[in-house]
Amino acid sequence: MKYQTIGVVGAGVIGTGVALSLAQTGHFVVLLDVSEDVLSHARDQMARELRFTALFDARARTEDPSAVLSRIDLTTDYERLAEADLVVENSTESWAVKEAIYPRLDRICPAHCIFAANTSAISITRLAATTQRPDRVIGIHFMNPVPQKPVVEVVRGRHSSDETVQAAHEFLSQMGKSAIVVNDMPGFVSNRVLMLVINEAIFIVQDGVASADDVDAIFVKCFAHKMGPLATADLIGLDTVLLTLEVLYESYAESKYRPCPLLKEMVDAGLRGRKSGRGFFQYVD
Amino acid sequence: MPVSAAENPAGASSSTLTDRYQATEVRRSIRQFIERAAPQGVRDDDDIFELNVVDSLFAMQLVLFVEDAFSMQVEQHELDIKYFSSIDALTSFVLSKLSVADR
Repeated sequence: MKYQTIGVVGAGVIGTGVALSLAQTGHFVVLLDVSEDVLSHARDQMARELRFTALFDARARTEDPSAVLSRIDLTTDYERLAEADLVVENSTESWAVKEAIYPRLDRICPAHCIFAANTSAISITRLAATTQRPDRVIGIHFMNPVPQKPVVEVVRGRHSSDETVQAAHEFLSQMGKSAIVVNDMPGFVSNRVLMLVINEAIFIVQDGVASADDVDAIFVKCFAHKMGPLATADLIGLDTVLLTLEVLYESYAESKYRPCPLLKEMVDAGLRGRKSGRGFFQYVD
Repeated sequence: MPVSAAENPAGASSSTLTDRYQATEVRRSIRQFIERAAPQGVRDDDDIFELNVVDSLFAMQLVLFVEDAFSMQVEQHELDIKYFSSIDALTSFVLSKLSVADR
């Protein structure tokens, strides 16, 4: 295995999923977060997620969950990333946060280490510019829930080298996943389109055109989508949806990305979607 | 390993009144929980995941509900979606676990 030790920065919903998916495919993972509370929650979340994976994957039923979890080292200490072959960065979708993380990773991680930004919308080229290794920075946009999603969007920044794109393919193949490579503009393909759809669906609810149930039912029953845009927003987290729209709005200076006031109000009210038990829909826990 | 519905003692003709009462209660309680997520209604033999009555993430909620409501531990090897995909399947699964626990 070429990429053996993988750093995962940020133990939120998606970072936790990435760490677990890596451990399930035999990698040694250093899962880093600034908060002990977040790490402790991540530990519980991963134990639950491992059980969930087993429901749909017979292999996970025979594997000892504690063996998988033992391959994940949870820490708040950046120095533990000193032996990482590749780092997947999943911090909060905010330029100020990420801008502080990359130079720090650059100092600590070995020269050969590749930085994979798992961002929803922030430009990979802009992130790469905060390091001394812009050729070894690439976007790997994992989908949620990570262990169940076999295909990811890989984003080639202005300076990402061919070797780094090749490395992303090899790394993902080690995880049992494959890539669709696209070029770098904020939001890439997935979120540049999806966030507009979600935002407009929220405007529709706000304007009283249809209920959240009916909006989603049209996508599920008429278009045969697996999940409607509002349930998707709840799954992503409404706070992340808002941050992503704000990044798109600023990046393109384009009014079509202005976040719907109802979305802002829901985030202010603590209705962050599935992870908080309630967003456009209720979730029993 | 849990036994299938056909082998389930609670479903057999020799079942006692207590067994039948327990089976009815288990089924009622499972139905109630699923209907909270599927207010449009669901038949006992509907595959709730195949029919998109609920999304796949509901499966884990179902596991946690069963463990909590019937005070049982679903083991890693039993975490198979086939036991959770309909009211019928889940009722059989729970009853078989309960009957094993009784012995």
